[in-house]
Formats: sequence, C-alpha cells, structure tokens
Amino acid sequence: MKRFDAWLPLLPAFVLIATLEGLSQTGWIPAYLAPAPSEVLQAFSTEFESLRTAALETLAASFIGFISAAILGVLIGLILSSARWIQAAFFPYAIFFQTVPIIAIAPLLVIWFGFGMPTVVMSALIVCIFPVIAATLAGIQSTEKPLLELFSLYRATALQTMMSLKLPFALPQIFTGLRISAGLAVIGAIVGEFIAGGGLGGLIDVSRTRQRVDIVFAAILLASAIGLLLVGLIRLLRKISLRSW
Amino acid sequence: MKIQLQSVSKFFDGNIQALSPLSLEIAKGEFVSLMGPSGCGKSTLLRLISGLEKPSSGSVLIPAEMKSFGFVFQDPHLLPWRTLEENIRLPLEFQKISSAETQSRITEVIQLIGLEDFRRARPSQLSGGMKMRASLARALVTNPQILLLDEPFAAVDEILRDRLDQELRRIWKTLGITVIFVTHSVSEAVFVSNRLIALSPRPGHIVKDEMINLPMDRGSDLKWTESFLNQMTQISKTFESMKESR
Repeated sequence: MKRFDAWLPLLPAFVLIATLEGLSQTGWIPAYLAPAPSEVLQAFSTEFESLRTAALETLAASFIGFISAAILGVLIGLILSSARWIQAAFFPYAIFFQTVPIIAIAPLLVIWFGFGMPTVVMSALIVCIFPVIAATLAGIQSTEKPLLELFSLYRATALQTMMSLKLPFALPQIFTGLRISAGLAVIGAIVGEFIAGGGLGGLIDVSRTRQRVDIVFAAILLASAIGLLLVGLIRLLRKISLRSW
Repeated sequence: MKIQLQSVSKFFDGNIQALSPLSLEIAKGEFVSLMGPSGCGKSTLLRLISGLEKPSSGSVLIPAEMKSFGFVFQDPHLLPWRTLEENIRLPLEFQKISSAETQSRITEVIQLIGLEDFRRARPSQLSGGMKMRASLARALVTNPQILLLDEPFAAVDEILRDRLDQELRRIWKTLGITVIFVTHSVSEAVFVSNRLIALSPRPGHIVKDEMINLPMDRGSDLKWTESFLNQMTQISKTFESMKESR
C-alpha cells in the first residue's frame, strides 16, 4: 500500500497531461495559448542547447545566491539575537526589506551590478535571505531557559554558549528556514533574469515575445526542477546534520 | 563552615515580592529540604544561593571553599544532540581541566549513577529515570560543594522517585556535600532529608525549620514505620494550619 501511495501523485499528472494533449490535438486549446505536452517534450530536444545553457546559468545563480543568503542570514540572525537592543533596532529593517517587492528593486540592481550574473545572484539573495534570518532568530530564542542558566552557572563565555548551546538548538529551525529559502532563491533568480537577461528567466522573456509557448513551458519545468534540486539538497543536509537528534 | 542568608528579600519587576526578609543558616554537609506552597519563593531561594539571582536586599554569604554549585532542574534538560557521556562532560568543557582528569571524573560519576552501559546512548534512547540520573551526574561532575535540586523528581512516577531519592541520599553520604532539595511532597522531604524548612505562601518566610529524626540509613520500608508517619503527620498539620490562617 505504501509503495502504491508513493506513485499516486503520478496519476493526476498523467490525467492532466493526457487531457491537455487531447484538447490541443483536437484544437480546443489554440497552440499560441498553451502548447500540447508533446510539443513541450519536442522543445526539450530541438532547443536542447539553449535550454541547457539557460538552466545551468539559473542553477548557478540561484545556488550562489542561496548559499550566500544562508551564510549571511545565519550570521545576521546570530548578531540580531546577541542583544535585545540590537534586535529591537535592526529587526524591523529586516521585515521592511522583506516587504519591498523584488520586481521593484531589480531595475536598481541592474544599475548597480550591470546586466548579468551578479544582478541575478543579488536578486536571488535578497528574496531568500529573510526566512533564514527569521528562522535563526526564532531558533535561538527557543533555547531552553534552564540550559542558558546552566551555562551561566558554569561561567561559559558568550561564544561557548553560542556554539555549544544556542546554535545547535536552533539548527532544526534554521533548516526549516533554509528549505523555504531554497524555493525562493529560484524565484529571485528568474525575476532577476527577466530584467538583467540570461538564464531561464531571460529565455522565458525572449520566447514569450517570439510566441514560443512550448519553450516557455519547458523553461518553467526546468525552473521548478532547479527548485526541487535545491530543496532536496537541504533535506539531505538536514538529515545528515540532525542525525544525532 | 556554612551558607548564611541575612535578611534576604527578593522583588520581581519592582513590586512582586517573592521573599520577605528571611534569615537562614545551612551548615556544610547538611541535607536540607525546602517546602512550601507553589509560588512561595522556594525556587527563588535556590537561585539566590546559586547566584543565578541577586537579592533585592540582604546578603547571601557563602565561604569561598564552598562556592561551587551543581544544579538539577525539574526536567533533565539534556542536550539532545549529545550522548549521555558528552552531556555529562559539558560543565567540564568550560573549565581548564586535563582530558585525563575529565575522563576519570566522567567515569566516576557515571559509576555513581549506575549508567555504565549507556555511555554512548542519546537522551532520546534513555528512559525518564535514566535522563534524570544523567542530569544528576552532570551536576556532580564538577565536584560541587553545594548541590541544588529544584523539584528534581516531580515528573517521575512514585516508585522511581523513591529509588532516586535513595540514590541521592547514598550519593550525599558518599560525597559528603551539602544538598538543598526543593520539593512539594511532604513524604519525599521527610524521607530524603535531615532537615526540613517550610516557607509560607508568597512573600515567603520561614514557618517551620526542624530536624528530621530518622535513621541515617533509609530504605523504602522506612515509609511504613511509625516514626516516619508521625513526622509526616506533624508537618502536614503545619501546612494545614497555614492554609486556615490565610
């Protein structure tokens, strides 16, 4: 039964694809609105080169953006949690930063970082850093109070308390934040590419103007595959590092 | 040598008085139970002695030779990502002690609590009683002069609590340390300690301070002897009268 359950999500996908194929072949859905699934499949082989180049670019940009956001986000979370006044003074800005739509900042990024990879990486980073900050902060604040008292009773230094207690305590929550961020990083990269060009975002933009919806769909599928890849990577890391919990 | 509290009081957030001025002496090597209704400030008293809290007025005097503490909380509070042995090692990581010394102390306390076979087990693999023992071992590994326990066995079942109480008494006799034990169970207090101090409802002050006249060696059958029941009845009556006068 369990083995069967794992394959069950394929059923609606199969039904949807078959229906779409049928509707397209019979002309119910015009080709310029949505391509037949078979055409998307075909685009994967005819446009293989450009899709591969674009996907690798997006993968690199979202990966670099995500890793930088992970490192920077944990660091900022640690700094914010180190003193009540620091948190009070700076956390509102982190929230403010989060509420500014990336699509509005992206043109500025082009002015600052030019057309190309740095802008895309920055865009990914900006979009996905907040969940890491928030999760790190919440995780550290959930440290059991008696343990904090125990550490102070044993005269542990602030650094020792951070490394031996707070950070390990926050780890499960940090990973939850990272999982959310991994998905967001791809969104940030695609948005960046819309403005700065290159990658799957650039390809989607160009194909749209050329009315090549089949390529657009192929690119969308690849973008979500990249997201799944990053999320999977985080799950794996989480499993390894929380093995002893 | 003794712990001295001189008209110590404690206020929280400016106006909530947890302890009214209270004076108390506890000699080195005593086993004292602190009792009282919930919220009477017995935990606060423990925290004042350990230095986790500062008194609002009065002073807590502890001779330098006695000034090392072990603290056991109501829950074990072990670090889930560490093995039993690594949990017990924790307090030593903040002291400058050679690794040979560290290892011998860990072995010593693990033997004391009888968990030799579980050195590498994670807290999630241990029973409630084992976790509590591990927590006790962590408190003992620094060779503290004063062991403070804040309702340590309140969450375990009665049979296990009896056994842990007996172990605690055995450890106290073996190590010759000072033990201050907070509990809300009269029978546990009479069973485990040599002196019982009862506090009034908040703001806490001492309403009863007396020695428990029971043999040094105490087995679980002690609980059915007349002298045990007499002492328990007497102390329970004190608490009854306290309720009425409120």
